[in-house]
Amino acid sequence: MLKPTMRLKQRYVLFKVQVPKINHESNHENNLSYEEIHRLIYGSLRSLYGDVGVYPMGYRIMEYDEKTGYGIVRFSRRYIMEGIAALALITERTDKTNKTNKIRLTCIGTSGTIKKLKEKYILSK
Amino acid sequence: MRYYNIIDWDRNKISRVKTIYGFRLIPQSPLNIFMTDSVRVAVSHSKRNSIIQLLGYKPDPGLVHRIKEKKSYLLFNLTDILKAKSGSQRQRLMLNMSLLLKLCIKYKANYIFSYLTDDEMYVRSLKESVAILSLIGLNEKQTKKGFNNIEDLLYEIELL
Repeated sequence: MLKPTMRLKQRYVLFKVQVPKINHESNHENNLSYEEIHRLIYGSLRSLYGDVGVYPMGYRIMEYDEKTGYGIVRFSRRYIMEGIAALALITERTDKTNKTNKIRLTCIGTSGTIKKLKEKYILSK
Repeated sequence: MRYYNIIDWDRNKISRVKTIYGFRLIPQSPLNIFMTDSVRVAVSHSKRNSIIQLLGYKPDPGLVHRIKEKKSYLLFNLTDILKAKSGSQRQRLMLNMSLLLKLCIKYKANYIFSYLTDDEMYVRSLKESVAILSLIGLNEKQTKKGFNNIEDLLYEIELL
């Protein structure tokens, strides 16, 4: 059994998907699905760091709410800045009709546990 | 410590929104930013309190030395990284920015970070900016300094 000091430490990042207001009113397709958000984040990570760079980052989407646009993504503690940078560098997405729309993934906060993250940033509002 | 972001919006919009994502918004028009891709032209235009944006960010020690000498400012537009169309374009841009920033830090020249854009979707928060700039080798203190450096200039030209 691994000692607690040898265990991989993780950090959770709360993000929110933002789309331009004009599009949001006119087009309900702006609500991104789980698969689409995974494709966007993983695409950004792969574009920045490559396959070899991504695997030690411990990337995983823990939760994502399609209605509100809030999501929680996990990264290894060592690579948290790289993870936030990859989220920040997402600027556009391509929808089903091959049309590109602007998108912004705002990093709201980071924490060591999902419970604390929710308490601090979601439940407090 | 206050952090500033130069933006390209129309004045009416700025009067309504003064801070966004932790940045105090400064309009581009009264600052007189000189944009060029030529190092020679940039050197000749570097005067006291002038802001120079070198398009392409070609690293040149002579230019940085001149900027330090004349107490002018070198602008780094972070929207260029966000708007890069391909990975190769982004990596070239980030390499040039990294080398130019290293020179600025070495010669203690003034550098300014900004999201010089007309679209709010291309503005990132301070925390995200720290993460983006950590990719090109800057620490949190250096990044925050880059967003705060313009304060002295703003006081001098009486914009604050």
